[in-house]
Amino acid sequence: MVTFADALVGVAAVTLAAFSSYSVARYQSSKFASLGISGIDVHKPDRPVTAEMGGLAVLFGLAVGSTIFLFADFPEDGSFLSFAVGASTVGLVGVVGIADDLFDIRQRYKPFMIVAATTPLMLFLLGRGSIYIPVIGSIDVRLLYPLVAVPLAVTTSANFTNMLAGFNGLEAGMAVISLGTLSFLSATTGSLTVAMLGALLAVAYLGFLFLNWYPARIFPGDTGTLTAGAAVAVIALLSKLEFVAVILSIPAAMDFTLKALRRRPFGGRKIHGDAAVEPDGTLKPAEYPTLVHAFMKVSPIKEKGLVLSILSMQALFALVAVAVTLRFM
Amino acid sequence: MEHRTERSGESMYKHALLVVLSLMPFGVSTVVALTAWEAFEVLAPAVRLTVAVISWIIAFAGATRAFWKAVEVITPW
Repeated sequence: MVTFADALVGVAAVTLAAFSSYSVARYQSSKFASLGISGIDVHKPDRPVTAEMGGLAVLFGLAVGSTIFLFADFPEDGSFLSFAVGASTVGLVGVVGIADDLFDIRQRYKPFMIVAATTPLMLFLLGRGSIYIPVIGSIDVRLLYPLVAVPLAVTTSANFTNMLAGFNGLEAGMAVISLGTLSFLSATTGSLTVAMLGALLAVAYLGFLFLNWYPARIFPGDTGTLTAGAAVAVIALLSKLEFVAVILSIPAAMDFTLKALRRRPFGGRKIHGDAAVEPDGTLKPAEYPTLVHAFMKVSPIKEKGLVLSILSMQALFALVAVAVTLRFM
Repeated sequence: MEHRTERSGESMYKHALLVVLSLMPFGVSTVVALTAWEAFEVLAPAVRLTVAVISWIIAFAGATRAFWKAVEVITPW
């Protein structure tokens, strides 16, 4: 039963998470470029230098929101532990992202570091041995769930989000849609504490999005993208909505598949470079298949229009996820 | 001005078409996986699930390739 005091704590936590994330991102956007923590905005004709590692602001927002939320009265059913385990797993993946932004970790090591970061979640879900799939029902997979499905889901989701990226507002916008949807569905299926974790992350990304939206003053960096992907998987696993995470990952999975199905998988960018930008801002696709190039190919499009198109696609899959959950859960 | 409005309308239509078309790989692969699940009723649940997941991945890859072919058909500009 949610009391009025708990609701008040929840509202305060969400508000402060968004405000802290926005404030830290604003500070970073004015300081980080001069510290050399920056990247070039390659999809603008004048290629401005922009601050990086904005995911740090999201992690800060999550930390502030979580601290405030600890004042809520948790029921004695393990809800507090699931909140703490979820937040710490997302935070640990965020640390991997920070290390990647600062030291440019080799691609081959990243999945192993993310798997290591999922240890708290694997231990917490050690007793769970079944997975629910709509239409089919619950399937007993025993230890395969905590030892294989959990690390695989978090690593895959984090890397998918890291790949479908590079345009102003895209990663943060997708995170807001995915985490908002998962939070709503977690609440409707009874996992209120996990829903709150999702809401804190969604609003932290929303606060950051104000400065990441076109024309961006700060990029999320690997800290922001890996954290977003991991957060989607963590919320889905904790609230037993694994299939929702699969549906929400379809746009990123399509992008991954298009890159993987080439003669030299994932080598397109190295060979053909980034999309070219015309003086009026129209994007011209490089000659290899990706999801963003599909939109550039069919008709002229600028960066803002492209991001809005991909976010519409993400919103469509979010609607599918809501429809499937409400029909079968 | 009129030309620009017309072109922008056509642009939006094509991008909206791609958004809707992106449902196809998910739809096709889900139907294939459910069919595989039904077809291999004799197997143990974990093996049956593995077969269904592998069918889903193969169908998804094929349908995503078909999505790219459709992009090439929808006229390059």
